[in-house]
Order: sequence, then structure tokens, then C-alpha cells
Amino acid sequence: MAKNIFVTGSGAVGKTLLIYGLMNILMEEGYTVRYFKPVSRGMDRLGPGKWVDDDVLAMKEVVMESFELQDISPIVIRERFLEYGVGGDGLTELILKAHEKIGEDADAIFIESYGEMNSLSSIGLSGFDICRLTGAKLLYIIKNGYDVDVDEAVYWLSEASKRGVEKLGVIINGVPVHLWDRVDTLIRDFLSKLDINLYGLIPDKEEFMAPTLLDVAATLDAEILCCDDQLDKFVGDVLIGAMRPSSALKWLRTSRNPLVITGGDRTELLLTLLESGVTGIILTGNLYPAIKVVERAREKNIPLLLVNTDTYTTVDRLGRIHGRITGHSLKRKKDIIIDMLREHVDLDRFKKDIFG
Amino acid sequence: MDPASLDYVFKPSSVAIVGASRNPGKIGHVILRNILESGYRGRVYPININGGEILGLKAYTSIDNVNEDIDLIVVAVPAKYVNQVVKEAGEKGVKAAVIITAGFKEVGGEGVERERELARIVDRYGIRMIGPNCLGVIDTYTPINTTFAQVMPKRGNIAFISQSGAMCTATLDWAVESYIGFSKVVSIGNKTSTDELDLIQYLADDDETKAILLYVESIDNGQDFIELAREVTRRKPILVLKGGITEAGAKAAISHTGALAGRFEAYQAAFKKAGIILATDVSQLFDYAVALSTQPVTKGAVAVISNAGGLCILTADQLVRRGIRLATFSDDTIERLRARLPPTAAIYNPVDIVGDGDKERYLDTLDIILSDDNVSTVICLLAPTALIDPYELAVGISEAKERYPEKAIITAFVGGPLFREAKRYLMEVGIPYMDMTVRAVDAAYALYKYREIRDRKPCRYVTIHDVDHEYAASIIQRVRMDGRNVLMEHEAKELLKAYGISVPKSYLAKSPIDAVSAAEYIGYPVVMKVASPDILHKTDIGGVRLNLEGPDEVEDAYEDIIANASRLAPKARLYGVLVEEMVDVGVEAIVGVTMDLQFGHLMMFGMGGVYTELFRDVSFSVLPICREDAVEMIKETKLYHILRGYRGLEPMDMERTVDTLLRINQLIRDFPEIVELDVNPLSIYQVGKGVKALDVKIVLAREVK
Repeated sequence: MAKNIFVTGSGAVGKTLLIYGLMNILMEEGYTVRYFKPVSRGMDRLGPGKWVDDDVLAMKEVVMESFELQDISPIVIRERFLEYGVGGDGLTELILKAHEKIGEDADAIFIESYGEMNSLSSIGLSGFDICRLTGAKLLYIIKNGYDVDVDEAVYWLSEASKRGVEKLGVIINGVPVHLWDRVDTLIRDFLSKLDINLYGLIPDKEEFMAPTLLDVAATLDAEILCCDDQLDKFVGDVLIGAMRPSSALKWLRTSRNPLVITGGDRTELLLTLLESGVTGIILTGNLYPAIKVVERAREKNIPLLLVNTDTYTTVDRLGRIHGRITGHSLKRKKDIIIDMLREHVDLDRFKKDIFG
Repeated sequence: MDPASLDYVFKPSSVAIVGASRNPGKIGHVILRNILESGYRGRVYPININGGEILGLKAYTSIDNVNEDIDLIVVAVPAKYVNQVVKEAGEKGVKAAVIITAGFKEVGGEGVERERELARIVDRYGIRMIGPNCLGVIDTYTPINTTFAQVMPKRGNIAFISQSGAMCTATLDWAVESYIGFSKVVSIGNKTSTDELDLIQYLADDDETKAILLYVESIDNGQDFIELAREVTRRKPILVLKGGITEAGAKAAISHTGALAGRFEAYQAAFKKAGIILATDVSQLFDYAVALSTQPVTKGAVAVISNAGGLCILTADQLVRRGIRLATFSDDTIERLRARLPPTAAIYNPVDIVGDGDKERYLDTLDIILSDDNVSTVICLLAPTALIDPYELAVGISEAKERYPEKAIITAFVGGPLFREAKRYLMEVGIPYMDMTVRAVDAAYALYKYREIRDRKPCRYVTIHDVDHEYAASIIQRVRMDGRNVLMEHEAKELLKAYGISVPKSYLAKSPIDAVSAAEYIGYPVVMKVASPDILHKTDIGGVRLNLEGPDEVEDAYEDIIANASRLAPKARLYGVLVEEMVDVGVEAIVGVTMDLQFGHLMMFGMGGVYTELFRDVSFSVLPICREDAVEMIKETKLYHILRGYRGLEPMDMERTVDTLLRINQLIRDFPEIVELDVNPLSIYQVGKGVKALDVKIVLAREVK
């Protein structure tokens, strides 16, 4: 029988990426591990009436290739779900059937939560319900490690005990530098006194949340004018290139992995950007740049993405990329997350708690 | 490549024109005709695949078919054949090539690849190449004209190098009208293997050239350029007209020859350092050049003589505006002038012989002025009157010049057709003729400015040894290890401190308790500032608290600052809060360094504090700087007067200010990876009390992955 680990947390805490990392580590050690998201959010339209969650799509691409989408995530919810009725008529059967298929021959299944622990209580699909249904143990991911975050986790974990859900413990993800010492001492002690396992603290790493240029290109539907072999670079700061070249330099130098949005007609600015080494450039308004610019971009290996939208619309669309996950970006982040888990998380203890 | 190899371009003993044509409308025809008409005495081989005869010469079907050696080929075949031609020339042992053909880098795509290939070929065979995409080359002494321009200039001592071919043709034609002669004219085109640096180096040792003129749109090796020019300008003036110095100009420059123009300030600073005189347009460029190529470089004091009071006044105003001193005549001169001139005349400088003056009165006056030791340059002005024949006056002036060869004479005959003959005569005998007073003043300025450049003391670069290089390196390494290129304030201050620049005491606190113990250690009151590499404008997000008096205030400030930063800069990495000694503020200066893409590190000094941008009282210098440069930078600002003690104010510590600039200079020399540095304010205290860097920002170059 496969062991089930229910992974949850409050908001965008990096669940999918952590699951992906943990799965890879276990798989490297010979375990057969699966991913399951019983209820997911329909964000992308696949076809008439068919919607899918990015997480699910991405995880299918990277670790669940041989499985059907409807088995990896049997229930896809958009805005309305009360139609399912009190207690969610027949939903649990659907979940159990898919869970069985996914779990075939597996050593462990990582089950990703829909939202918070209490989400979907009205239709009988809260985190507690799913844990009881699948016999999963609870792994809670705390974001940052501010007091309020810890407080919330403590509440849900004690609630879990009351409701007969077994808990594994917590991982604190994305701990900012200035909080590190405090989390590592005061909060570690605090959790220990409450008898909550702390598997580890993972420092804040900008790559975790960063999209790649390919993600950007896909989101913006951009035409790639140059350097499509460089699209796996991570994007950090987004800058609007509206200033004079000399002023732009100051901003560029202090920014992290900058992606610059500007018009293709701003040749002098574009050349400055290329000289100073940006991560990528988005050319708005379908303005094709001067030959010189494309040539220099080729020499410098800096991708040029041409879009037909104006600057405002482009920025707006880019805003939606935050926290979204694609198969490409997961693969790109694989080594980083594995290294971080190995360095900062007590994996032996984690395995022992799952497999005994 | 050895600059002497340019001899094969300017003084070839044989030349082949590849692409020579019988069709007078073709460039290949014009070039051949220009070579023949220029009076070239070497062997000439037209090359045309069809052979036959062109302009009375036997045409060869290929270079290979020419049995004798060829020094120079001039190539005007379509772009796709150029590389093959140059390769064949290389096989034959041709020494130099002028590639007229366009269709290389400037057209992008395959043109870029074609140019790279061409560069490889000339490199492999050691061919000295001018171009491609150029007008050609002229040497008036050889003489040879390999251009397709319509005019051959007259012989002179000015060498003109231009990145734009059209600027050459325009200038050449205009120069004929102005009787200006050249030693050499070079259109450098895409400057694939020979650029302005190679030519400056060659022309520096060319006896036929007395002034080097450049029209450039881009300078590729900015730092080498400065270094070379600085050396050459001690011997010969270099005058530059730079296109694309403003952002709008740069736009045209890019679409023109594919250049990246730098900032105006960067150019000014670079040219100042290089000893280059910058002109604002073609006529000014040549007014400078004519003066410098014909007149002795004089020490400055200028006398003005005229038959028209209005012209005198205008000229005097213009001289003063350009910072040129009017000579004070000796008593003897004044006596003699008084004796010679009517009572209505103005006998002090500027001298007005008044409207009824004739040639004799004018020339006698000129003689008296020239004999005065206080005078080194005379501007001779003339307004047309029936009493003076301008041509005869011109002859008289040239005779006076012969008697005083060590003095400079510049003429400005303000008028038109009446002066045509005088103009031709004066220019031919080598006395600058101008038709406007402002142009005469420009000419005088060139002599004065170049004298200053030529005589400036060589800069002695001193290494400052009492710095903790090792500790500074370890700070930078720590920042790198943390995956950052922006130093936090406390790191930046540590770095300056390691280089002997005083900073306030400070400590990075990671908790409120930490902050309190830091404050107790430093002593109240303290300043607290958010510590994050991502927050540059700390005040904007409520990240700064001043004048904190006790532990409660410090604890509250810590919480507030972190809360404000988390809310208003949610993406920023917070490292804690900096607790800092509260210090008195003296005179606020700014010292900045920025890495210019063309000229390297540029230092700025000026009025600091919050009004920096408002007053823009700043000066720039390209690094490295020596003590003299540092002093000059300070003197160029208005802040200098405040530091010296303006209107009864206490004088400030100038010595430590100069020292600070030199220490920052040393820091940049040791760590060139610093691309931005800002000390604002640098608080300057009274003499003997030193300076303190109150806020410091440092950014390193992004590491190449």
C-alpha cells in the first residue's frame, strides 16, 4: 500500500515545487512516487468544458507523463462548486477511483491541497476530508516564518489532531535573511515545545518564484526574434525602458536578472541594454528593431521577444505570470530545489516518518 | 599593425584599381580618373574583367595578370566579390587596400558575416586596409587621390579623418572656396581594421601634418583613444567634431554607421583628458585648424586692431566670453600709439584707428602693437571703407607677419565680395582670414587653448598605499557569495573605510534587541536605516529614522522600518536595519563614479545633498586621475568657492576632499568591477576636521555566468 502525504499551506507557499523536489529525491533513491491533486482549479481551457490547473499540467509533463489528466486530478473546479450539493454527492467515489489508479504499484503519493485546510468544507472536500479519505499524513508548508504564519500553522495542525488526521510536520519555506536567526532559534524551540516536527528551513531564493523567458514568451504570445536557445534564463526584475540610455544604465546595474520592456524603435536604448547585459528584452507595439540591434543581440545571446501589445497591456499580462507553474520552469528549477532540500531539510527523518 | 604600413596607403609606388570602368558614370571610372588627374607619379593598373583600355591605360583582367608588384589596391567591385579580390591581392603580396564598396556591417545580415570574413583575410595576409564603405584616401604631397570625390584639395598642413564619406565631399568642396589646404584626407568607413587610432598614431609623426582633424560618430576603444590622444596632443593639436553627442544626434548616428554614442558629459570629460579641442560644427573645426596649422602657438594675450569701433567691441566681448585675456600694452606702446593716431582713436586695447584711417595708419599701428612684448596674438579687423584697399592691406599685414614670425596674426575682414582678393591672398600666404569677428575669436581661442594643452604638466599618478586592500576584497567577495551585485550601505561604507575614507560608526542589527545594543555601543542619538540591496531610495518607503534618543525609540524604529519595508517593497530582500552614529553635517558634496560604456570609469564631483539634481553644479573626469586632475575637478564647480570660504565663511578641508577623490580613484583602480559609486553627501568640515561619507551606494558589474 502506498503511503500518502497531504501537502498544504496558506496561499502561494511553493507546494508544487517542493513536492516536485521531494518526489525527485525519492525517485532517485528507487522509490515509486506519484503526484495527486484530487481537486484542482480550472485556470487554462483545454477545450469545450475542459479546464485544467497549471500545476497539474506541469506535473503531468515532468513526473506523471503516463497518467491521464482526469486521474491526476479527477475534480476540476472553476468559480462555482455549490452545485455539487451538501457533502458533494458522488465526489468521494470519483476521488477514490482516481487515487487507486494513481497509487497502483506506488510507494508513496504526494497529494496537493486545493487551497487552505478548510477550503471546500461545504462539499465535503476539505483538507481534513481528503486526508481521512486517503489515509494521508499532513505536511504543512509555512511561508517566510513570520509570527502570523507560524500561528496559523499551529492552529491547523492542532485542528488536524482533533479531527483524527495524522501529522508529519512542517517545512518553513522562503525564509528571508533577516528572519533566519529568529526562525532557527526561537521558532524552532516554539514548535518543538508544541511537539511539531520541523523538517527544515529553506532560505528565500528568488529563482523559486521566477518565471523563465520561455514562460514569458508563452504568456505574451511573443515572436522570438533572437536566441531561442537562451529562453531558459530566469526573469527577475521587470523594467520599463522609457528613460534615456544613460539613465537606464543606473537602473539596469542595480536590478536582478532584468527583463526590459520597450519599443523596437528605441535603437540607442536597445544597444545600451544589450551592452549592459540584460536577461531579455520585450519589444512592444510590433515595432521591429533595427538590423544592428538584432545582430548585437545575437552576438550577446540576449533574447528579443516581439509582442503586438502596448507597454501597459504587456505589463498587465506579465503580472499574471507570477506564481504560475509550467513544466519548463519546473525542469529548470529541479536541481536548485533538490540542492536546497538536501542542504536544509532533514530528509532521513522525513523518509522515516513516511515509510517507518 | 605597424602604423608605418600606412605609407603604402598614402605613398604607394604602384596602385591597381579593381573595378575600373570605361563608363564615366561608374565609381570605378571616377577613381581611376582622380588618380590620374591628381598627378600621381607611380604605376597605375586598371583592373577590369573584360580587359581592354580605360582612360588610355591597358586594363588587366585580374590582379594576378599584372607582372609587377602592387603596393595598393583600390576596390570598387560589388560587395559579393570584394573578399575574393582581397584574397587574390593577399596571394600576390599587395601591401594595402582601400575598399570603397559598401554592403558590409552597415546592412546587417550577411553583410556582417562578409565583413568578419574580410577582417580575417586582411589579417591573414597582413594587408593594411581602409574601409570598407568609404570614400577613399587623398595625399596631396604624394600626390594621390583614390576617392570618388569631385575635387582634389590644395596642399596644406591639415589632415582630415572622417567616419562619414559625405562629410568628406562636403568639406572638400567647401574648403576650395575657403582656400584651405590639406595634407591628407581619409574616409575610414566601417573602420574594420584601420580606425582613427591607427591614423592618429601615423599622423603624429607625419611632417606634412600640423593639425589632425577628426569627424567621428563612434569611438570604439575609448580608453586607448584617450591615452593615445593625450600623448599626441603634446606634439600636435587634435581637433574633433563629434556627431551623436546628444541623444537625438546619437539616433541618427546609429542608423548611419551603426555606432553607439555615449553621453555628452562622458565625451567632454574624455576629450578634456585627451587634450582634444572639441568643435561644434564644420566651420569652427576648420577655423581652429587653419589657425593651428599656420600660426605659432602663443601664450594668450591678444590685441585687437580695427578701423571700426563696432567690430572692436564685439570682438572684445567675444574674447572675454571665451576666457581669453586682452593684452595690456606697455607704456611705450601707448606713447607710440598716441603719437601716431588721431585723438579720436582708441589707443588702449582694442585699438580703433577710426574710420578715416588709411592703409599706412593701419599698418603703422599694427607694427607698434606687434613690437609690444605683452602681445602674442593680433586680431586684425577691417570694415570696408574707400580709404583702405583691402588687398594692399593684406599684403602689408603679411609683410608685418614676416617681421614678427613668432607672433600670431588672425584677420577678420567683415564684408563680402569687396574682400575676395584679400581673402585669397591671405589664405595663400598662410594668414587665417575670417569673415566674422566670432570666427577670428575662435581661431585665437584654438591657439590659446592648444598652448594650455601643450604646456600642461604631465599627470603623475600616485598609488596610495595605506589602504586595506585585502579587507576590501573580502567584502566584495562576501557580496558575490551572497549572489548580489549591489552592496548594502554598511558594506559600501566598510569598503570606503578600508580605503581610508572616514564614515560614521554603524552596525547591522537583525532584531530590535540587537539594534538597542548597537545603539548603546555607538551612543545616542542614532540614525536607523533599512538594510536591503533592493531598496535604493530608503526614505521613500519609510526606511529611515533620525535622531533616536533611547532604547524604546530604537526598538520601535526597528519594527516600523521592517514593517514599512515589507509592505512597500514586498519583493525586497531585507537583511535587517542599520544603526548608525548621528553626525553633524558640514558642506555637502557629492562624489560619484559611473562606468561609461565607451570611456570606462567617469568620476563626478559637485554640490551634494538633496539639491544635487537641481543645481547640477558638477564636474566630470575620466579615471584615473592625478592630484592635479582632482584639484581641477573641484575648481570647476561653484562649490569650490564655498569650500574656500565664501564671503567670510570658514574655509573647509580642501586637502581631505582632494585626498578623498584620490582614494576613490585608487579604490576603482583596485576594483574596476565597481560600476557605480555614489557618496552623497560627502560631508566636508572645516580645515583640519576632515570629511565623512554619510551615505554610500556601490554597485558591482553583474558577474558573467
